[in-house]
Amino acid sequence: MSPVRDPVSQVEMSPNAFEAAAIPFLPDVSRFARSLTRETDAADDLVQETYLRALRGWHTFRPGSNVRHWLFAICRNAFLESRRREHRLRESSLGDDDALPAAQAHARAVAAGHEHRLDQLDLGPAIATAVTDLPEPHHSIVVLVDMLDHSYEEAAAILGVPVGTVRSRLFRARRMVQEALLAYAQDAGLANGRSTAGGRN
Amino acid sequence: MGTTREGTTSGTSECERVVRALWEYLDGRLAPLEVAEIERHLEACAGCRSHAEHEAALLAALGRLRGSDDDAERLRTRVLTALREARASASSEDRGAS
Repeated sequence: MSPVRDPVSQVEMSPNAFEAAAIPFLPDVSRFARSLTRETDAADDLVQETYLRALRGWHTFRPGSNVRHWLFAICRNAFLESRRREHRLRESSLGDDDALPAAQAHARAVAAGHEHRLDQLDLGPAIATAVTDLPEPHHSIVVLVDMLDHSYEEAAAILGVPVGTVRSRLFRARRMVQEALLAYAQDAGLANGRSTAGGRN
Repeated sequence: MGTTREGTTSGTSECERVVRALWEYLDGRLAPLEVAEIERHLEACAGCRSHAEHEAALLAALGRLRGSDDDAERLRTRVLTALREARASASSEDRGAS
């Protein structure tokens, strides 16, 4: 028996075709979900929800499109919806800007003597918190580009925005992370007067 | 705008141009000619070099936050089971409707 095809999209409609196309990207979707949620159980729930939604929407998938990007977009939408339901979604009202203001954050770190403290502190937990606290869409862009090594073009395709928008929002997001780390370093310095608080030696 | 080790700002237009391009330089998005120009400047300018090291350290730390994919087989089994249950449920609804 020949496979059933959607008469409009010509996508093979069988469940087996969906699994063959989508399951190979499960590790990628899982990494994306874990990077978005920072919580293993929530990430696994999100991955399952992503695949169930993708199965339901398989007939809408356009042949020739990128299955991985399609799955990432579904995953991100499901993540944003769950955050919205939990009233945990922070959406940015900020405009976009370029790289220059990052110089000001660096200048303040140097002037305050925190530049080397930042080198010595274990910033892992502080950076994770700073990224989690980023508003959308800046959070998703940092996850895609800086944590998962997607190109600006891939991030633009997943998020449905122009490459220039990814670029400017990425730079803005990095600056917000830098500002949060600077505040963290100041707190660490004020709290204990040592630069190794909780850090590597 | 480069920043010296002493925390003052050199503020030359060359420094400003380099600082504006630093993220894209570190992301590997510049043409070879632009990369060579920036690297020449970074060799000569301690303030901008310090700035570039600061940005590079941030990007490296962000890269280390990537979620791990341990226990991948368990997740794969869970997702495949959920998909098959969803399909079974959809086809029994179809049978009920016909």
